[in-house]
Amino acid sequence: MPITGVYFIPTTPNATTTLTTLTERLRASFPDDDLIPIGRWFLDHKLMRDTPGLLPHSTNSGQPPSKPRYMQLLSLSHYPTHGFIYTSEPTEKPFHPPSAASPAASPAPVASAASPGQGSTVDMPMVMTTVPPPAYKTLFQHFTYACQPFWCHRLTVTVPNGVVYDVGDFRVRMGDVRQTFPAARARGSIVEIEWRGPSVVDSLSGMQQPRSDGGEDVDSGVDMSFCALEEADVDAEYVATASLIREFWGRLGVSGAKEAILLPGVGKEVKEKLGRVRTGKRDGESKVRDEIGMLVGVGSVPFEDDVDPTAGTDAARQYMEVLRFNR
Amino acid sequence: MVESFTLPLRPPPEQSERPDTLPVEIAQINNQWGSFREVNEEVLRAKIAEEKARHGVQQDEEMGEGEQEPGEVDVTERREQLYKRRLEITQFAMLVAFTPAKPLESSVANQSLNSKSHQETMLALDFISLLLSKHAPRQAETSMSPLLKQLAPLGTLDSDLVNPPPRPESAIKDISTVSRGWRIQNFEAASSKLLSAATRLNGEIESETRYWSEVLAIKDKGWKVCRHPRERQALAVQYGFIEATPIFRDRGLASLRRAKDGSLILDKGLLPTGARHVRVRVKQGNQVFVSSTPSGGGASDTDPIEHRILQARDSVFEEELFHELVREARAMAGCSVTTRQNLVRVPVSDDMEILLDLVDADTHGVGLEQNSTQGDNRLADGLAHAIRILLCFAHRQNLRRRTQLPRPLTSIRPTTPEYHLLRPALAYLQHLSHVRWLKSFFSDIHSVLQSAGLDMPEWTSNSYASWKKSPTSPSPATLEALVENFLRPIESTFSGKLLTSRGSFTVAIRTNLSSPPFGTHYDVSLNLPSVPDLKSPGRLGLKDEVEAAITHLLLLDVVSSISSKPLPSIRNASNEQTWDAVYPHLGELILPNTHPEKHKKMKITLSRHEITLKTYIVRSIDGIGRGTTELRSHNAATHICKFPQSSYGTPAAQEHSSVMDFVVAETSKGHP
Amino acid sequence: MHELLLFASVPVHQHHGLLQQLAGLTAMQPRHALERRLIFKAFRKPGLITGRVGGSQDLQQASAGDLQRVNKMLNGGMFYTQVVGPVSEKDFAPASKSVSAPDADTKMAGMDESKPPTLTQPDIAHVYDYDQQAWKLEFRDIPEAATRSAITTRVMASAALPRGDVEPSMNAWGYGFVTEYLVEGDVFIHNDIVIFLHRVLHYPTGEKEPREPRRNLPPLKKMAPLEKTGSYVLQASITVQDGSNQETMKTASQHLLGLREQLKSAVRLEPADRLSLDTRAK
Repeated sequence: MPITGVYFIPTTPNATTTLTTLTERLRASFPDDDLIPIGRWFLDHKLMRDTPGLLPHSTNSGQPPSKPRYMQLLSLSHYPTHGFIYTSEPTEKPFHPPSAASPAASPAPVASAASPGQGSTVDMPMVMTTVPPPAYKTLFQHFTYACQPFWCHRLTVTVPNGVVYDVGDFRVRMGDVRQTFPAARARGSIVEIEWRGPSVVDSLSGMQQPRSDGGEDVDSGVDMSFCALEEADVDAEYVATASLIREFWGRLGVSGAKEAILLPGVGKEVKEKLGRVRTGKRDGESKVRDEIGMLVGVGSVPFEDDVDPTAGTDAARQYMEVLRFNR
Repeated sequence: MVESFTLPLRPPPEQSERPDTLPVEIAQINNQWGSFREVNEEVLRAKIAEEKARHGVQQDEEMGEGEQEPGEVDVTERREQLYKRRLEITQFAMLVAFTPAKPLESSVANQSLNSKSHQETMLALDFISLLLSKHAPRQAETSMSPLLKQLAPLGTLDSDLVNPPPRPESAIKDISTVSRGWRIQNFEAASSKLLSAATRLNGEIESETRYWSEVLAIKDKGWKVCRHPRERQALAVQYGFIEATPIFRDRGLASLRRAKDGSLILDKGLLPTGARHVRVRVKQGNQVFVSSTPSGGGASDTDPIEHRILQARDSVFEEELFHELVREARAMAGCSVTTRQNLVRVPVSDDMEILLDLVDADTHGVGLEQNSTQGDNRLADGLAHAIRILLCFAHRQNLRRRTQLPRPLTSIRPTTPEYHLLRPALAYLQHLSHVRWLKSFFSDIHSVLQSAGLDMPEWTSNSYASWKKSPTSPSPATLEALVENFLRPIESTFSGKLLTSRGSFTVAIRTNLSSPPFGTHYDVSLNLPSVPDLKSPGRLGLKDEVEAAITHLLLLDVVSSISSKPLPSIRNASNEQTWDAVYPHLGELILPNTHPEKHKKMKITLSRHEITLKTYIVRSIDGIGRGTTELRSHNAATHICKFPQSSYGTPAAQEHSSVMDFVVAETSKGHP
Repeated sequence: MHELLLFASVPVHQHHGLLQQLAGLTAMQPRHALERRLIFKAFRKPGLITGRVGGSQDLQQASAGDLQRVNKMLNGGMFYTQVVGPVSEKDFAPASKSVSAPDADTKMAGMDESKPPTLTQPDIAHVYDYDQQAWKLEFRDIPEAATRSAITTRVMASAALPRGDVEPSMNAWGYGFVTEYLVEGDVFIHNDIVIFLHRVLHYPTGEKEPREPRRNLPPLKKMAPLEKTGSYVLQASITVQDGSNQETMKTASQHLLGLREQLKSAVRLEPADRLSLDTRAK
């Protein structure tokens, strides 16, 4: 999971920025590199809002309006193994108060200190879930079918034909954002800048891969090197890389963009993984998976497994941050 | 009497729904009798008298006639009358009975005779029937005429013996003898019938026992015996493969019929009974190798049932195998596989071809070219076994697929893909030929280098590396996992070290016919630190390219090993000289000389068959320059050295036994 | 997606025989299945609808239709839904510790991550790892009302969920954990039909009902069947991708009715009472 930054340039009545203009800017800013598109990419984003929050709050009731809650579903072609669902945490836990025991639910708030004062539109923390692509589609249908009293589909935007460039140590994904629901119209352009230089975070998150495709003993040596790593180091790397990305963006000289780099929650999965590596808990996933393969459920969908369910969550958070239009 | 027995067969007269109304009745009376005013006692009395008088006259007349008749008509007259009437009756009856059927020209006499006898027979029948109806009403009723049935109720006539006349003694004796004889005869007939029935039943029991014991024997052998799904009365044995394609799965069932003697008949319906099997022929050059006949073929009806079932099973398997081979071959038309009606032709390489066909067991080998090299059928046999194992594997895969959770039902039916039968076999053969070629190439070039005195480290090959189990990997959990290996891409690796230290090369051959990218490709990776800008060629598709790449690599290796060799300087030890690899990719080295026109150049060419070293003097300033700018001097003093030394050439021409000798010699010559 | 179903009740003495019959019919070995089933209930903030009297005064005319739509959505149906996870027999606590079992259970519940000392024997090295538990969301609507009365038909959805603790995600999506039970049974596949001969097991009574999904499983032997006689339910189901396609729906129901005919001599497959399969949350 490389460190990324996402910029969204909204279409305003007096300024239109499109993919073509962005490409020109990129070419002008990096004349030394020959810019050849190395691929295409695709994005699909659905924004849902809590249905009660859509009612106009009455002025005479005296209650302060409750904060809007969102559910965002995002699918990125560069993370084809799963879709992302990002949901505002519930305001109160239903029926039973949350027990403090669950370890996954209580991560320390991350990066809020590092976040350089740019206001996030959502103040309440959000929950990231990744599901396989078929489930992503099914869940969206489920929410629109069976959860109408609390979730209302507001928007769908897509990036139908994004272009990918490699510029030095960066990989840049650019594309035009089109709204397809409720009405078709252009919303702006989006740029993802990915740092592809040396990165501890990237190698840490990629640690699972060699084990899954061959079981070679490559990673045994690597484990040790991560033991010395502290969470603070991870934070520091995020901050440092963010400044590199900002510098890169600055060279493009595009104004009026919405930036999403150091968001609350970014780096959460990496730190969890670091924690696991350091406690030496080898998650015997391969073993468990073999067994699960033999078991079957009775429903219609067989269990399918995602090799690395946390891949791309940082980028997904950033995309969803800029695409969370107030609607 | 007749009058009294009339039965109301006609529907009862229809009752008017309601009685006539009084006015209607009055009108009727008026109409019939005149007005009521005219009715008085006198009139009525007169009427009554009139009525009475009319009745009396009638009665008198009748009475009178009855009394007169016996007196007036004498006996003969009466008889005549009787005959006449009877004739009339019979004629009438004849007319009624035969008019529609008989043509008019037939004689009246014949007619009357016929009708008379018919009539009498019918009457007799009726009479007997009526008589019997007392004791057996049902039976008698069937033979009664409808008229009689109408006239007389059943059982109204009985017979009894009244005062039998005494029989004479002899008659009684006769009767008793006859009846005794009859009885004996009947007893004998009955006993013989019973005896024959008993023997028949005995035979029946025997054959039935035999039938069932044979059925049980089959069941004990593990065959699945069941009721025939279409004929509810018959038993059937299932020998087919449940996971086969439906048409072949349904053919794997034959009913077990019982012959007269109770032996089992395997009734496969309309299917041909002969054993058939898929024959594999490998055509290599002019030779044809035929796979051996599967054992157990050619069972006849005299064989035990077990054999016949086995043969039926084998046949259905072989037919399915061929069916699937043809199906796959059609999909493999891209690999120039051709199919005819009963032949699949698979070209493997230039001089090798595989022919597959379905033949009858008994025709096998007859009229075919008798191959003398019987021992070389291994490849054909191996192929024959391989395709059969792969079909069994496909069956297992079907079972696995069938027992997975089904996908949601859609209107589109998924098509079953062709099985992988030919493709793995073909991949193996293709791979084999590539590996053999590469091996021969390596051994050729290795021997060339060896003959040139270059101590090339031995190369190592790891054929079918992908099939070999690495010691660390767990043994395959199931049989399926074992076979699955053969469907994966086949990979062989060749690796070797070079003359220069830390130099190495690896060639991986991958063949994949099961999934794209199809075909064989080579992955050549090189590591030659002495030539820094050398890049591995990577994936190559053609043999020529691979040969060129490796030859080039070895050339570079030879060049760099020569250039790195410290040469003994003849003149003074302080000034050590080396060959300078100016154009390593072209195999050119130069030995600089203080004299600008006396640079010595060496050109090395390497091919699969020989290595040639050529030295000559060039005149250019620094010795650099190629082609026309190379400026070869007129008296170039060309020396050529070739390896391997040709045996028949001039042996004197080649005084150096190795490349290095030649190099050293040339170095020393360069400084005369 | 739609699901078509038929059910039959199988008394415990018939269970073994029926397993054999089904194995013969489907030509496959029964596949034993154990499933954890977590029940979640949709919730919404209380009082939101009632507190909304007179709020439409400040509405602009333009969004009147929108508001109507929102109001309609607010009054839409809410459902219970299940989260299903397959487990194996090895995942259950060993039964040998029957004497000290309650003690061991509480101990285990207290120490999630570290290995409980009772499980250090080599033969029971397998420990249930809740964080690796696979889950899927199984939603079933109330059966459609009497359109195809011979067969139960209902809208369904099935979606894989991430491994491990699903509760935070489910809570965020608007579902609260209610309770859980276990389903034990055997699966057969007959062409498109999934035949599941199963029964519901309850967690041992007496222990405190947890307020979140269990992180450890009690010994399997201690699980008690919901139906006291231990009888089983035979469920034959077939899923249809597009329920609006009458052709496939017809095919599916014909398949099911065909199975009913085939099994007629063994069990009587029937549609279920619609209201007993009501998943709506009141």
